[in-house]
Amino acid sequence: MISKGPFLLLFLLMFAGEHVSAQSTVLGFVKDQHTGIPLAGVSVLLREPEQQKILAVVHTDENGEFRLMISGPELVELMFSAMGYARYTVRLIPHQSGIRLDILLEEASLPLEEIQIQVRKPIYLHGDTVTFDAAHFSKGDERYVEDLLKRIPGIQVAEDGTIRYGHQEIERLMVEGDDFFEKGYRVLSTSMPAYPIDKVQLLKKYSANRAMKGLVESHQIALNLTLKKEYGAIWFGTAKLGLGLPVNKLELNFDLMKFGKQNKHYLINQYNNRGLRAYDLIAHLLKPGTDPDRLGSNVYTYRYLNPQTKDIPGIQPSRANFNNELLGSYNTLVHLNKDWRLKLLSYHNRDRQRARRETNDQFILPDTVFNTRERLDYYHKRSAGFGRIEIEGNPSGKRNFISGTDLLVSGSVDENKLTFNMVPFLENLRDRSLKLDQRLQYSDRIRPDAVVLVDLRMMLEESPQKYTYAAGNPAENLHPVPLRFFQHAAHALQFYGLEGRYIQRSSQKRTLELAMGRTYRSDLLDVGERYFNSLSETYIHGHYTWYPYRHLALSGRAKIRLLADSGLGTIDSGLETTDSGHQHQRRTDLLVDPGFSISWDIGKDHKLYGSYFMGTAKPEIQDRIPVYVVSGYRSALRGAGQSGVGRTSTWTISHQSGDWASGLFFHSIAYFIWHHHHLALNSAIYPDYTLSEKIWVRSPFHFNAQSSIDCFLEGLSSNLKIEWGVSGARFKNQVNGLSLHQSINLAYRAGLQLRSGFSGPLNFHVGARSSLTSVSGRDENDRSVFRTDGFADCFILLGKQFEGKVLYEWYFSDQGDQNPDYLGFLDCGLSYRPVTKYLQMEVVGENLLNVRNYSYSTVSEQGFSNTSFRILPRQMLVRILLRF
Amino acid sequence: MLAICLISGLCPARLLAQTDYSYHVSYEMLLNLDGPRRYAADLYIAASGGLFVFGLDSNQQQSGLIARDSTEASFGFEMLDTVRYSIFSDRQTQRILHLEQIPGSGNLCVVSEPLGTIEWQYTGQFRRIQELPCWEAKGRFMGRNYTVWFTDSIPAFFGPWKLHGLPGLVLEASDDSQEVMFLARSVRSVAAGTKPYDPMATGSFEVLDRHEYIRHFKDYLEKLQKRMMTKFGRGYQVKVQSSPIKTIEIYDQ
Repeated sequence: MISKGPFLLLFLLMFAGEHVSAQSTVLGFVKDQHTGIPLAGVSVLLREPEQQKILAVVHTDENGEFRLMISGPELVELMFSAMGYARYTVRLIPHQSGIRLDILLEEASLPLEEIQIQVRKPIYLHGDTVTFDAAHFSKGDERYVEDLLKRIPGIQVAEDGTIRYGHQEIERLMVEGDDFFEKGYRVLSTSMPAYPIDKVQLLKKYSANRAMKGLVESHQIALNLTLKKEYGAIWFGTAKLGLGLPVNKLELNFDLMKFGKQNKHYLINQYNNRGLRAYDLIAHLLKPGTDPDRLGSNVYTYRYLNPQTKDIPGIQPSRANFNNELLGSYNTLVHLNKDWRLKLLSYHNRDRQRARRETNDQFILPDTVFNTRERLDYYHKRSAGFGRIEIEGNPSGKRNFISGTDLLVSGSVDENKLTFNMVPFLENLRDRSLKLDQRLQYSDRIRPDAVVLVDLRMMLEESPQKYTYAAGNPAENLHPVPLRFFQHAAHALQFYGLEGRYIQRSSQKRTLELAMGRTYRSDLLDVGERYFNSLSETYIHGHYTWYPYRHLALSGRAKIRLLADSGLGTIDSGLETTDSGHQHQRRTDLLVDPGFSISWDIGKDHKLYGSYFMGTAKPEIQDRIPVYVVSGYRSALRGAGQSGVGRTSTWTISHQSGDWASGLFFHSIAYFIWHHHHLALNSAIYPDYTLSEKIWVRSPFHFNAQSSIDCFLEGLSSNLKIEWGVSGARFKNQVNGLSLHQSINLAYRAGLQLRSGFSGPLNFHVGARSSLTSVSGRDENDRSVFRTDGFADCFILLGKQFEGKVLYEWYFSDQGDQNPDYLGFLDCGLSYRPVTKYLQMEVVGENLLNVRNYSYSTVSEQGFSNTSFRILPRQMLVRILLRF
Repeated sequence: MLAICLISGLCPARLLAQTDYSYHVSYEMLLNLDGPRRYAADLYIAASGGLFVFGLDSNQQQSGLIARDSTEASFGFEMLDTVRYSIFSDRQTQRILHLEQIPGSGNLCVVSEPLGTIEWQYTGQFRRIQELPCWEAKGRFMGRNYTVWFTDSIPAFFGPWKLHGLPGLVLEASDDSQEVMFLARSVRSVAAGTKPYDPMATGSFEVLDRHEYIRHFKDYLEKLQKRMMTKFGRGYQVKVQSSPIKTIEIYDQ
């Protein structure tokens, strides 16, 4: 502890007089007691004698001299301290004529035993979690969570609401450990008030499954908000209104939510008729998933007929979406007890879409040449409802249980008016879908370095379709006179799967994963067709097909992940035995899917990656059914009939060097896919209809190679990006009974962009890209299409509250023997953000040049095709956002 | 072109060899410049000088400047530690020598700058930290407003990092934005003749004048900002509102 020995006063000269109220000067010299050497750097503290409050501090100069100004007549205290010397204190009364002090300090050591200091910190780092004390960072004027997060060092909130830690976007934003928004966290961060927040926790190496934490490399980050005790639940939300010209354009949003510690609620409502696709918000919930590691991924029913609406290649889908769409959703999360919670999600979507397009096809075949012309007026009505019940339990930190049940009910009606080669058609498609998906997942951390996972999944799905049209019979080619055709096609499937996985991470660099599972899948395709004379309404003929197919598989796979100092190697191998068949035709296959990947860092500047994977796939039921099923008013499709297994090999290699901070970044990637055994088409193409059947072929392939380079041009303060690539394919098919044809497709593309990085209020971004696609045709002639498009954007910052942008994009295509097409779109926007942030206003103009149609051309081995889409006309929209 | 004078390992090693330290203070240094990072720091205090040595905690991987590639969904920098290794403050020469990274290169240099004076305001606020009486002082230094708690029970002119000029040992210091924090963990006397490890004394480094260093640093930052602005996809309006690299010193102020 600090020595409190007596300090020594050797000499003091003090000239004191009567009290005065003016300032007085203290001049002093401090010297070593024994040597008389002036002491530099001695601290001289002027303090109140009673409370010891420090009034001023000076230090002696190299001559040991100091000077102090003292105001007021009160008694003050001077304390002299320096390392290696005993402290000395003197009290004095200021005097008008000044005070002179000569201080001699005695050498004295101040031995300190170690002092350990414990203090409370606003930031706690414990393991992979960083906890921020919200009160410490709050200044009291934060309205929403994002305002608070902006005040926390290291967390950035972008203009669009994206939250990043450092430069990595977070995966989830949870409240009291609960999450039902997943990547849609912006809704929460921009609407939830900040004042109930007690702490913000940053979870590094985040894994949604607690039992997996630390076993599988995770670079994910999540945020968790803990609430103050007194804030059980409050309601809050946002409202948005957009009114546009033409006057019937409308956009409405209303979100309301409440987050308590035990119960959480979230309500969302959206409506628009200006092309925005609200359905996209829930689309990801309706898909079975594509993660190959997840049991039951890519299992879904097949539809022979799909709505005629399609994304338009090249431009934003909303430009041609004449819609009227409503989305409503209610979600809640309830804690049943300390370990178990219940989550309910529900969505309902009602959508009306209209579209118009015209397609001109030119078929050039060895035995025939003809043109077709089709005009489509499309009207689509869709209604979809989705519900999820999820129960999750963590009986202990080592075990995790999740049960999720999804129910999807959807229906749609398409009523299309068609004109094909001047002949009118009426087309009607009624589609229903019913799906029940039950998942169970159990995880048990049996050892600190190992976990066992058990997945169980059951899916029941059916998707009946009713289709009618009035036309000739494409499947039979027997009735060239108009008919009324009716088809009922229903695919029903059942899937049951059980898989166990064992993951062991024996060291930081070595992970072993073993899995074994058994799946059962039953498909039933039920197709019935009837033909009527549309004039007399008499039945002509029909047929009915009932095609069951069952597939029982026992699968196992192993994955070994080895991490070396300069790279990563993964060996992945799958083994599957299947017993499958239709009625009494049974077949057993042994499928092996080996693979490996290697990544290698060469120095600091080069990274290489290479992989090889072999994949096998049993054909889906639609590829097997041996009868024609109508797939459109002019087409029908038949499966291959016989059994077979598709087999592909995929090679991938990539290289990158440099980084963009150094001004030069180069990246290349190439892959080659060889189809050892593959399904292709044998088609009979006639002017009025096309019949196709699946056939097995060997050795088609396709490949792709592309590179890009980023180069920062110092002189222009702009980044130049150049991209180029080539892709190709050799495919095999048969047309009109001719021999199997091998066709080579090649596509070349190149593009460049220039984006400015000016410090001022004005910036630009321009770019263009071109592509040339060539196909070797059936008639031994090569045909090609050249396409180029580009954009020129300008951004303006007008103070801190106004932002403006003008966007222009153009498209050009040329098929050589046809008239080239050119068109351009002009959009603009001006937004105003008041300081209060309760209100935000925006004016948006789209398609200001009022483009009415957009054309897109393609080539194939059969000929040329050009499709023209109707575009939403010019529209202006004023949008107001309120937060409450 | 950066003006560099090369002094081969002269001043730091010599000055350090002549310094006899009295106290050793261990600090926890928290920098929240681009995500929280914790440094272990040691301050050795003598009457004539102070040596501050720091590095990332052993459980945190040190990284230099890493710009992730544009094939990833996000891109940006790992934190650039401009405040690593050591700082030697010398009262006799009235200079601070600081081991730094040369911006844009992986090389190190020694930045020489005046010791200067920090105008501390003594608020009169008092509290005890582990029974040591502490007073609050506020001062602006290197672009940040610092609040420090020091104890006059232990005389020490030099504090953590480059902070100095207080009449006692600094036990806590933080800036207004909470991006920089120093928290004393232990204080003890140093045996006579102790020579602490100082990376500045282990090699030969280029010595830069502070103004030259700042000018070079700003040039580098400006280039980075422009490159960031140009890396986004079409339709995004980009505003670089803050420096892509935050440092403990704010050079604009």
